[in-house]
Amino acid sequence: MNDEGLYVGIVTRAKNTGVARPEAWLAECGWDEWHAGRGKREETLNSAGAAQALCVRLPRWVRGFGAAKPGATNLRQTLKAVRNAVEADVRAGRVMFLLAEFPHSFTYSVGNRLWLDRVLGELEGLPLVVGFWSAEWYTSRLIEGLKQRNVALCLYDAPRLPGLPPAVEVLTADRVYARFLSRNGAAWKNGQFGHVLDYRYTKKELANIVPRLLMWRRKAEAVGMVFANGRWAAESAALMNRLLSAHVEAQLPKGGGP
Amino acid sequence: MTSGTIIHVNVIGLMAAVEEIVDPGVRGRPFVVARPDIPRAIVLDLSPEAYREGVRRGMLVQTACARVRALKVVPPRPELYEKVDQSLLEAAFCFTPLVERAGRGHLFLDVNGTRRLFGAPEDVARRLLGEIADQTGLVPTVALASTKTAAKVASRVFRPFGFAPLSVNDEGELVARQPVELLPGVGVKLLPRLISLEIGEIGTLASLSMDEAQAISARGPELVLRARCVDDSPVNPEPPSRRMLAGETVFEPDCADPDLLAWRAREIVAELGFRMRKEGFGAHFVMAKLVYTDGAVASRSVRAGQGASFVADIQLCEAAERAVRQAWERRVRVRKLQIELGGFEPAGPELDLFEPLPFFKAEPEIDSTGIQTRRIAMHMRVQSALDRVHGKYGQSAIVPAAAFLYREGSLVC
Amino acid sequence: MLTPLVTHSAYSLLWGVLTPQQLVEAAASAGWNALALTDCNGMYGLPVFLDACKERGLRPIVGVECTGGWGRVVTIARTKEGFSRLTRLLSARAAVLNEAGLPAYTRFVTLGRDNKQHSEALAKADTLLWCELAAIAAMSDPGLFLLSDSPTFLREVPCSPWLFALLSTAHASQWRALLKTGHKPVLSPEITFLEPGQREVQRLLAAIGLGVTVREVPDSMLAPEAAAFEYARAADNAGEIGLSLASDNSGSAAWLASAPLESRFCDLESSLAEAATANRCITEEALSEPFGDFVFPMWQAAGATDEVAGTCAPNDGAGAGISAPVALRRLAYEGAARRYGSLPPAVRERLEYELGIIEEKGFCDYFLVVNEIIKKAKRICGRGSAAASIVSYALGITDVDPIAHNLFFDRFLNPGRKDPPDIDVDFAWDERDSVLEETVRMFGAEHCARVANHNCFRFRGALRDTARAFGMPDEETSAIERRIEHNRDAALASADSVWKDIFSLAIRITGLPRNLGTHSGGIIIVPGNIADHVPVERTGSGILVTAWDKDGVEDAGLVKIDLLGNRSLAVVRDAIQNLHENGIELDLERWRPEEDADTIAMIARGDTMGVFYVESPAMRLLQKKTGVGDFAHLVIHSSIIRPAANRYIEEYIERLKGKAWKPLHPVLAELFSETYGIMCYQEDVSKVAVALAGFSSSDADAIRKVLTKKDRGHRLEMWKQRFYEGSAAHGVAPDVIDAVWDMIMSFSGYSFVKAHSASYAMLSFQSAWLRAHYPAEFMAAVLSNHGGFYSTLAYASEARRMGLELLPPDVNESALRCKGKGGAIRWGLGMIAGLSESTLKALVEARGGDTTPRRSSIFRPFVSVEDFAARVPFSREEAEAFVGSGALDSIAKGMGRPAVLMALLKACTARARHAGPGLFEDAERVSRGAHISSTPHTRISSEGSPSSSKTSERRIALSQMQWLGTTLSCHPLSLVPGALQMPRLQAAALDRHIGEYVRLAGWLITAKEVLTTHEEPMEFLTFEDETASFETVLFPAGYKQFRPALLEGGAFVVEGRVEESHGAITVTIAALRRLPAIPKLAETPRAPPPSGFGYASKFGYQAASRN
Repeated sequence: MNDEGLYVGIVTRAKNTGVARPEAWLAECGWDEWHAGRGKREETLNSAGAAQALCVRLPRWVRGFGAAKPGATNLRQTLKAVRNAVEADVRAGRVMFLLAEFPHSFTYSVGNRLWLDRVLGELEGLPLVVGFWSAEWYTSRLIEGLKQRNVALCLYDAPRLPGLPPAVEVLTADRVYARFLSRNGAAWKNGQFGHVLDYRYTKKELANIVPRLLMWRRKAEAVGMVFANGRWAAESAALMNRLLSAHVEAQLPKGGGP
Repeated sequence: MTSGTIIHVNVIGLMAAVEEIVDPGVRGRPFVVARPDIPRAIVLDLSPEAYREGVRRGMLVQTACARVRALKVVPPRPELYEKVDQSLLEAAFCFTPLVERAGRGHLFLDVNGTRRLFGAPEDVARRLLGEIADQTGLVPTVALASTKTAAKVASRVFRPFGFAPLSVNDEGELVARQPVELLPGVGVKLLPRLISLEIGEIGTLASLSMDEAQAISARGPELVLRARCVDDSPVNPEPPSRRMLAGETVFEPDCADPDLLAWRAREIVAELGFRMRKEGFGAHFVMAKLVYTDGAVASRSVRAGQGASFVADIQLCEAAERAVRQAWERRVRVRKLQIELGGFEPAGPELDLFEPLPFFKAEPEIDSTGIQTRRIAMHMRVQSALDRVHGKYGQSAIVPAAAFLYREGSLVC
Repeated sequence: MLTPLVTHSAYSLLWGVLTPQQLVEAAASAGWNALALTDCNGMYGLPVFLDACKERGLRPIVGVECTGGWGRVVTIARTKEGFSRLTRLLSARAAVLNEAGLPAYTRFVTLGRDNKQHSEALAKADTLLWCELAAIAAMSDPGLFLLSDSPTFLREVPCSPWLFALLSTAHASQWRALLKTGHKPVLSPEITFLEPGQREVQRLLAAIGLGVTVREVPDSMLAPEAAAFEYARAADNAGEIGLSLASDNSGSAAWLASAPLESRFCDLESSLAEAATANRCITEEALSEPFGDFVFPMWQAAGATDEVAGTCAPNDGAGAGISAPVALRRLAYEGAARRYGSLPPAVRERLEYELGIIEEKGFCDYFLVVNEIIKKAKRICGRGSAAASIVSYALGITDVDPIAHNLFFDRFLNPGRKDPPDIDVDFAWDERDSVLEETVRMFGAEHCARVANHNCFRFRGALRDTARAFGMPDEETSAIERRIEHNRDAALASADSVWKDIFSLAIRITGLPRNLGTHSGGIIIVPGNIADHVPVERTGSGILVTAWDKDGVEDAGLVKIDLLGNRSLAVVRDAIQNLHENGIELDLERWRPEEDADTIAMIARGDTMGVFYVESPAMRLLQKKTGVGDFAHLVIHSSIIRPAANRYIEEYIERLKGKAWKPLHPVLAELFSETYGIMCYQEDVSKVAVALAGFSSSDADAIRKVLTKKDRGHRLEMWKQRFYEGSAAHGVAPDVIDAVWDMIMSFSGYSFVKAHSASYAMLSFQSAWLRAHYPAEFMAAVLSNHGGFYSTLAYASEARRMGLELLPPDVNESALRCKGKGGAIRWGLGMIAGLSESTLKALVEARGGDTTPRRSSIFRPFVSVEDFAARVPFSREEAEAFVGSGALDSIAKGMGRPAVLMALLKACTARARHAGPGLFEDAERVSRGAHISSTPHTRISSEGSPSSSKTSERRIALSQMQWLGTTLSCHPLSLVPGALQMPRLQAAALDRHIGEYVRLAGWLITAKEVLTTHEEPMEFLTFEDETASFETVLFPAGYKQFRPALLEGGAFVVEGRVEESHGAITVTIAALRRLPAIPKLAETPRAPPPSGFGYASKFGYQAASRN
């Protein structure tokens, strides 16, 4: 895999920080985790030989978090703290994406829209990605607004279920970020809610996605995709990486390709 | 997670997109597709970068260049675009025969009943995207929905390079949440009224009662139906060329000369007439459509009398000229002329060259253009002779002498 | 030599290409000593032609080419009788065409569009011409020569001593046929062009006239190429050809040398000789002075001829039978007694003196006629020099006492003066048309005509017309115009080839007459039939006008009366009416606003926005700088502010403020003591010419007149020389002469006589008094009459600054006009954009009255939206206007505006349906929509339903901006994103920052472009913010840089240095930046246009946009 700007990775979680596998180029970790590990991050990550690129995931619904800076009293201070914390890493190319994901309860209300506008304004210039779980946000107004602000809209591969974001893809910025959740709609219907994210992508399914990823790569500067399908995440990422490598090599003019 | 079966494919700015693929040197630069070195040439298509600088389609190239200093002008390659358009169509035909050409770079597909062959509609849409990308290098916006309106609104929202496979659950609400101006049929006059009524979203429009719908405008009920995605118009697989024969010419520089306009109409109609007669048809009407330099459009048609049809060039030309004359009402230059023949009817037996004609069925005593049957009959013999020559050696093998007057300075597409 | 008897000037409207001056110039240079002007079916150019001939010493010949579909007859006037016959004929033809809505110059049926009415009218006009001309030819002495080259006409009409077969040099091929008709031949050069290339100009003009593109104008509609001057002029090549004609100086037919035809006409030698002689005879016998003495309106004619005789006779109806001088004397004395109370000797003496001159010169009728006219209006204001007359004052034509204010009658009328008196009267702008109509009715339509304006192509209009004739869409033309406005040379240089052609042609038609308009207020009243004196026709708006413009009718001796429109008269009238409605009555007989201390103080402060004549920024600055506001000084100020007098203003202010000054010459000290030694009034020029250079009073008057003419150039040079010589002869030092002449030059362009300024100052005082004492009523009247100098928006801001509350329009509370009461102004319904007059009328009728509705017993207020919708008919667009302007808010009863609008729209639909099916709705569509209500659909919107929302303040202000043209409760700047929030100084605090560099936010309210002494453009701009208005100066360097940004107006960031001069503060602009425009209501959703990424443009090129 030697196509710069195309990052495949997995979601890391506090409890399994060490899971970062050598195959994974991109790691998505939570803010607390990243923030906590700031001091030692370099050695942990590098020593693991793992993530060379990172997506820092702001706590869901940023509105409620004050961890960025203890004692921060208002939104502006909080976001300033976020900016201060990540800016150096962004410049150094260590943090490739900054994902702000909004839960289903973050509705498309005037207040929330104004609030979002402020958040995006304060974080302007950072490689922001926003994701909405409420389908209400998928409007032309939002998309045009994101285009104007060069903010990416997080693309989801998720079961088609009410309450989950629609599976649409659109380019609103110079970067693309996709999260692979699962396709386990059946689990939901069967009431096995715990297993919704327990899904093993097949090779065929992933292979289908490859051309689209390569297309995004042509239109954007950085494309990140992380697997969040629970225990299968690492495997899926590895598989995807192989598929991509194969594809890229196949296209390299080495002579005598398939 | 059922979805609809209508797929809308929209290649935004096809000409510019093709040029970007063919010539990577222009990628990421403001450029326009236009004929250089011709007075009053216009922007046929443009790159997003040029759009951001304020250039618009139909703008004079000179104005565009004055606006953007580094603007590159790429000459158009109509055959190439035609080819690309054709490949789009072919890619679509791989999945379903129900493909409607809604214009260059624009397709509607209905993939109903193809699940066993190609899988779920979403997969078809995705594969279609890949197919198009493989064959042409283009990345269209593709939307999947259960109606044409919903698919079209979705492709207007998720652009460019978007992919919107909407499930039946999603689509109604998704369309409802979009601003009203994305709904086909809402224009400059209606929009302020809707805004005054605080109808900002398609959903609000959709929730109006019949009284309210009618209050908004005489066509309000139609609009409300559309807002509800109640759209039973089928994907019409018949290619336009079957329903009617059409030809067009773009004037560069734009044309203010009635004689030239009439001549171009004759040229187009002669070509169309040839194709029509080859199929053994006569046309019931000839329509002329003018696009003025400022974008306004006017059209008029001339119909043959009851039970009659235009067959010979002499009739077609006369009708076309009359239609053009009637359509050209404004004192404004004409940028594009389009001629359509329609209402096809069998034109009777093909005529024998140099053989006297005993009876010619499709013609009444005196047809609507006032040309006597006898004269037509005589002319038909010449016509068949001409058609044969044209069939064998091409349209330019024999042309009227007047053609030499107008040969220069204009492009027949 | 052969006189050109057939020539066409540009007054063959939209066909001819030469000005009469060019024709005359060419003829003179070719050595002709006589020249005819025979324009097609018109005599519009006659006065200009006569003038030009006089100047070049050519003998003018008066004629008309009567052209119809059957050919043409060139008529040449031989006697005055014949001339009148022609004017009547043209008027009759014009009447036929006007009836069908065609202008009188129409010659051809409009191409392409088969308008039956038009072609019938044209055929009728052709027939009329034919019949009249045939009848004229049959007369024993019609006073006309008829020259025709129409074979049909010559064949049908019997020979007559006055009818000739016209052998025109432009149509030589017809000669043989014409000679065969048996009529006497006449040979004449024909000139339509100076060079054949001008035919393209003619094609363009014809295309403009016909409303088609140039490619559609066939050659047959144009004059033949042989009608060029070159052909006609070939007579100069006299000796070169063998064909010698008759015994005259032989060159007569020498033009044949250049026409390749000579050999073919050898056999016609004798006929051609005869034809040449005929040309000479006609030239000699033709009428060359068609104009005679003054033609005055006759008071008797007015009094005696119609049924309103009673009203026209003086006062009590005793006028019947008495002579004009007696009647005038009686009226003057009665009026003077009313004005002065008693008749002191000075008044008596002055009256006698004036009446004596008026009677001696026969102007009594004129005065009486004006007197009759002004009786028709409540409020008038005499203007011009007539205000110096005590007779005018006594008759009520003016309000200024000439004795008290030292106004001298001589400037108006004196025994030596040759031109007719000129009484101009202002009427309220909205009454003037009815006054004019009433005047026409009173004196009889056949005696009256308004004075025409010759509307000439100006560059912009010419460019637009030319572009249209080349099929350019207006939008593109507008874009080019903007580029030209910005930088003409660059725009012309960068144009493509088609536009270059358009430019060059547009320049060539610039200055040529285009059509007939109506002069602002001039009316001619003659005792006899107006058509005997001048051809008359109707303009596009149906007003009967003379064929000649104001200079032309003056040349023709037709004395005009100017009845002009004046907004401030309406303002004063409305304010007084408003006061009356509020129960306040003014005693107008004893009203002396010029003596009121508060008013004087207010004028001195320059607080005069809305006040007549002194509201412009320049005037207000002058008031501030001088700090005086009394009547005498106001008269000076309104005269000294004129384009060319800038540098004397500064001097005046200093002298006023006590600077010691020495007169240029002792004589001047005496003459101009009241204006501090500075020449101020127009008559001062004459005074100085008499006193310093010893001019006679008529010469002195002439020099004054020359200064006001546009083409003063060489004539002024002559007067300058005479002035210098005269002054030197009187021993005046050369440097003094220079200085005085410079001062005289400051009167070029326009300037006022003192009497005029005094009359206007009186009106200024009236309006200023109202502003000082009843600001609400006054500003309401200013707003309703659309003010004068400023926009509604600027007046609304001023009203807010004056502490007045602006109340939105209301269907129950508002009258049609704005009304003031106490500290508030209620917006008028008539001021809402987009409401038709008929709807407003219906509304007023439905509720039972316009003004003070609450008090009236028949007043039926609208109680609810439904009630309103049921009683007033309106369109969907008007419904939007009613709701958007807030006029229904008071009866909405808690319904939000969207709900109200929906209710109105529903009512509209219901009404349309009741009006009959099929008119607005088609049945199929109705039935198609019928199942909508049956398919229940849940409301999805998160935006709230149309019935509940409350409209936000900002939204209200935005819609006021849209429907009222201004915001009411806040300044429009508050709607401009970021304008009030940025760091800046408020304008009200400018006086504390003199000398500092400041930044302000400002809404541009007016701009005045001027030229510096180096002829560089600069601009004075007035802005305002939420606290005050402020004046700024943009010097040439800044002008170049920032001008493009200014073109569209709106909100700006202004940076510059604060300067102070004599207490007035200005900002010298260093930087200027446009702020974003106020968003339109429809844009508020902050969404991109439907095309999203913009790939579908208005232009329907790509199929993409069809979807």
